[in-house]
Amino acid sequence: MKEKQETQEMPEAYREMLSRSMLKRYTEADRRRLGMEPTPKTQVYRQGCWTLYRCGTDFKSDYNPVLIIPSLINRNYILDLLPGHSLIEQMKLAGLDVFLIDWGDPDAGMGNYGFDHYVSKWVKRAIRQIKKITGKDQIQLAGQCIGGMMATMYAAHPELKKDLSSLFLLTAPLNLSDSGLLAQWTATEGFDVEKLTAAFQGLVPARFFHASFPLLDPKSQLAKYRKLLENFEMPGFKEIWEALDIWGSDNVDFTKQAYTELISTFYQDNAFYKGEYQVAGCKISAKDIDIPVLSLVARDDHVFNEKAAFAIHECKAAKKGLLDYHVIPAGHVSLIAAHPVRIHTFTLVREFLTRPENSITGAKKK
Amino acid sequence: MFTMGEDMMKQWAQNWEKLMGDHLEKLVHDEKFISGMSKSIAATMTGKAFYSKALDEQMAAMNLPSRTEIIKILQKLTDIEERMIDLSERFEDYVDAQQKKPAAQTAPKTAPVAEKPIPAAPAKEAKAKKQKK
Repeated sequence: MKEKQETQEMPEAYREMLSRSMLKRYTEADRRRLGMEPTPKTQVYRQGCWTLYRCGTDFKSDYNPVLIIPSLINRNYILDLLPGHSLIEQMKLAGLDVFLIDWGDPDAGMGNYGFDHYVSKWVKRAIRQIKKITGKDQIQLAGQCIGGMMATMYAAHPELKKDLSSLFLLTAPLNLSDSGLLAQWTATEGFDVEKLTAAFQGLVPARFFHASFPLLDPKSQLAKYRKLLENFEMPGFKEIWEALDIWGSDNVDFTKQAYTELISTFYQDNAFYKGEYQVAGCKISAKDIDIPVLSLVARDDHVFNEKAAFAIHECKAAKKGLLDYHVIPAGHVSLIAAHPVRIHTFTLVREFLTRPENSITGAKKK
Repeated sequence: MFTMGEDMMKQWAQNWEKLMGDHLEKLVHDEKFISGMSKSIAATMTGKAFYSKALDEQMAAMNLPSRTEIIKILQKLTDIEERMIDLSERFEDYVDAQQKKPAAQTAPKTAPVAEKPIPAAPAKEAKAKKQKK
């Protein structure tokens, strides 16, 4: 009898989840119910729309502090999604002092700021604050997705790189020519970024940018609700599914300059990979990176393919044997969120960030 | 868990999902389709930009600030804020550098000034004693 009742309740709960997801009717209560962003964070610096947070409550650490630069496209809490599904939680458990940038919601006044400004001003400012707070001369820089590209720019700059002891890249694209469907779209005849953004003043709305994202992997989009139904009774599945859905629907506006640079300079001209992009008045190339690097790449990434990240092998660090490169059989996000692959990711990250300062891990590929 | 009817629905949904998935997958890889989509979005956006410009002109005719002008002011304010932060950071760095200068370098400059009055005091007292005498 009880069993029958449970089976009857299940579709009703499924329908409720479906309705919340399709109508994007998520509230703060849903986030609290799921226990999202489990790691406590303290604001240590704020300027305009962006904030620098220090994660956790215990800041004692034997290692250089870590600064995480999240992507500009989505919110940073993908790195601290749920208890047990949090990269930041794992870093704290490993005894690291972790700082996290929250890019917040840019306003139209920031419309003229592109990647150069983000890296040479804001990331630099965040690192300056961390050095002041911790008293350490160098930090370990981590970047996820486009944040990884920004971290690479910082590490490639002849002056800025002096602040860094190591670089950790998570699904970070470097060579954007032939990097997947987005590259194909932007290379199509008629894809004129000036015309596409002509109507926007200062900001490119998130809904404009994100409208194309479901089309990057249409089959997964169609299978999304079926997978939920099929795994509805699997312990923990509903929670992670809903948390990812909340994160996926929580999009951020782009500054017009950053959007134009991303499409035109990085995708269409591939200027960063070619070493033609300027940061703080200096042409930078990822090939000049000579500090230890950990690069984690998702094999089934639908946003950037593996080729986009593989370019890190051309850097000086790789030639010196300071590159740790791993291709993980997962997607762009499931790499750090899904079971059980995230455990492998977390282990690699912990081992790299807590290694003895001068140890050389050697270039390898799994 | 599912009844026979539900199983049939599930099968139908799976078939639909596969058909749609294959069709969409082909579509998003089709250059003609992407090019057409891009051109149509660009045309819509150009139209929107033209409408915004017309609105700006109307606002100007009414002697009211337009959205474009307000954004320009906002951008200038943001630039000023950036410069202020840059300057305050430079100042902080300068103060830090001054504080970090070794004490040995600053000591000789200040020490004689502080020490001068000490021998002067007994000399004055001696003069006063002489005058009394």
